[in-house]
Amino acid sequence: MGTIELVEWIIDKFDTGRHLHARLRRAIRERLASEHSLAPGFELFWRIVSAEGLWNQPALPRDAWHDFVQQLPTAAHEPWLWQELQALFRPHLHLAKAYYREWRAAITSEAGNAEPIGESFRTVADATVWLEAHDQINLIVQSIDRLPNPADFLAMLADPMSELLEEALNLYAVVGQANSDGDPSIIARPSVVPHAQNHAFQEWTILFDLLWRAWRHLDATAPDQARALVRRWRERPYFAFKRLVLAAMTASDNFAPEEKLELLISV
Amino acid sequence: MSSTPLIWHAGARKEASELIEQLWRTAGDAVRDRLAEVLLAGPPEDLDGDLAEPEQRQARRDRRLFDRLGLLARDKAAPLSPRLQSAQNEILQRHPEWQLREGEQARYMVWSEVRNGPDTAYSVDDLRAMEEPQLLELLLRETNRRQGLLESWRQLAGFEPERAIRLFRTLQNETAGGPPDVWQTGLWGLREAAKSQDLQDRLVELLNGVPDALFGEISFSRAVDDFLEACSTRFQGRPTQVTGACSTVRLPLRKRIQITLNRPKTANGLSERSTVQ
Repeated sequence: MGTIELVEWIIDKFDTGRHLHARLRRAIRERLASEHSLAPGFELFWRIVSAEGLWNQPALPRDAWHDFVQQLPTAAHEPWLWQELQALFRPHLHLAKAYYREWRAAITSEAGNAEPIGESFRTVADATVWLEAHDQINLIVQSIDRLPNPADFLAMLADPMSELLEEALNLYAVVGQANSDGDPSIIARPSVVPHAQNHAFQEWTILFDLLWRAWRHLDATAPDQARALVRRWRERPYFAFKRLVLAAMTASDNFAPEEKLELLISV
Repeated sequence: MSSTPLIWHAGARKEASELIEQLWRTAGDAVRDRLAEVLLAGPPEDLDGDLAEPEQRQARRDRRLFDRLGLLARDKAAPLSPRLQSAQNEILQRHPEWQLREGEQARYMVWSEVRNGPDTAYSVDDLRAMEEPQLLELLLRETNRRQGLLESWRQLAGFEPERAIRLFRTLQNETAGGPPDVWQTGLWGLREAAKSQDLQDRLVELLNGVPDALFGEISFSRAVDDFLEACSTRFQGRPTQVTGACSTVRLPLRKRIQITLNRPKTANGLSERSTVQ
């Protein structure tokens, strides 16, 4: 379990849609319980791939988005459809072979000794967050745009969308990339407000777009709800939400300059 | 837990910069005075604890303040106070080579120029060197590696807003207002320049006059929506006689884009392109 070749063999299997058998998962967990000399990066990798929860893999059929898009126009106000939407946007961890190995091989001769493989998770595998609907996310967003009033629809789902964003960041926290002081949004979403600098290379950042539209609508039509949403964002534990609050309060007339200044000087 | 105030946190630089600029431009004296105090006090000492040499730490503290004051100084409508100006002058004496990055780039921690798809045969400088009819013809007809061309056009619009507006005026007279993607990317580029109220008003007036067909395009309407949002953010807290006047000319524009953005699509997923009033 402490070899990068086995890790990459597993990643190759995951890439083809395969997953570890329940008995193998249990065997890995048993080994982890008794094996105390495994480097931290390898240990975390095996914890993730042997997990029973569905946070390390997609759970829906590849075409699940299709029926949703068909049903949305006539069922936009049905609670079951909201559940379906949340299921399609459910984040999970996607593992890929670590770019670090390639980089390390390239720089070793010039930069001397680099961090040994296995010392941290990034030396073992690259983790990104994917959403369940993955490369069909834009089709879902386009179907929302075709509703008679998409902003109303999104505003209604502002809290579940916030939960989904927090869940995406929870997954980055698993691999040590997210906390209250920083997270991948800093690079993956350079501007909270929609902007050409947001190249949307990482699909989970679409949640910022949807939340921003929901926020703007609430701020214009239901200021009390908008303020309450900002209050809840401020309680969420990741840096991305601090940026969301900054952008939201800047764009709103419903906050006094004194409140805005207090936010700026807060940690 | 983080101990870095958001005003100094590199990861929140874009959002914090916009709020600092807004408060400096629009808040009352008490808030502006407090903001100036916070800026002059500088970032927490331990923020640059990774640097061993005091000179390096001082230079980094200088740079943090320089970038923030530079953004404020750029807005001629709300000049720096004498104390802030003096602090900026002192930094410039220590680092005469420092410059604020151009346009919107100054607010970003990282600015990337990346294109989806192939590169373009036309850089910003290529477009800069063209006569207007030649540039218009290129934007109207070029299909080869168009994505990259439009990215260069977006940058040009940001650097030379007056030229972009002239081109938009000509484009208005093309059939159906010309290609929506030229408007879309040009408007993206003009967002920073539209800080000038005069330019903003001329652009709003121009947009009010574009053909209805163009408002039927979601990409165009969304770009106008984003543009108006960027403008309105800059107007937060301005006296009502200013914002009121702007709202009057923007209201018809908002109505036109909302009709398109909220309009159901046809079965093939395309916008209906009926006349919008």
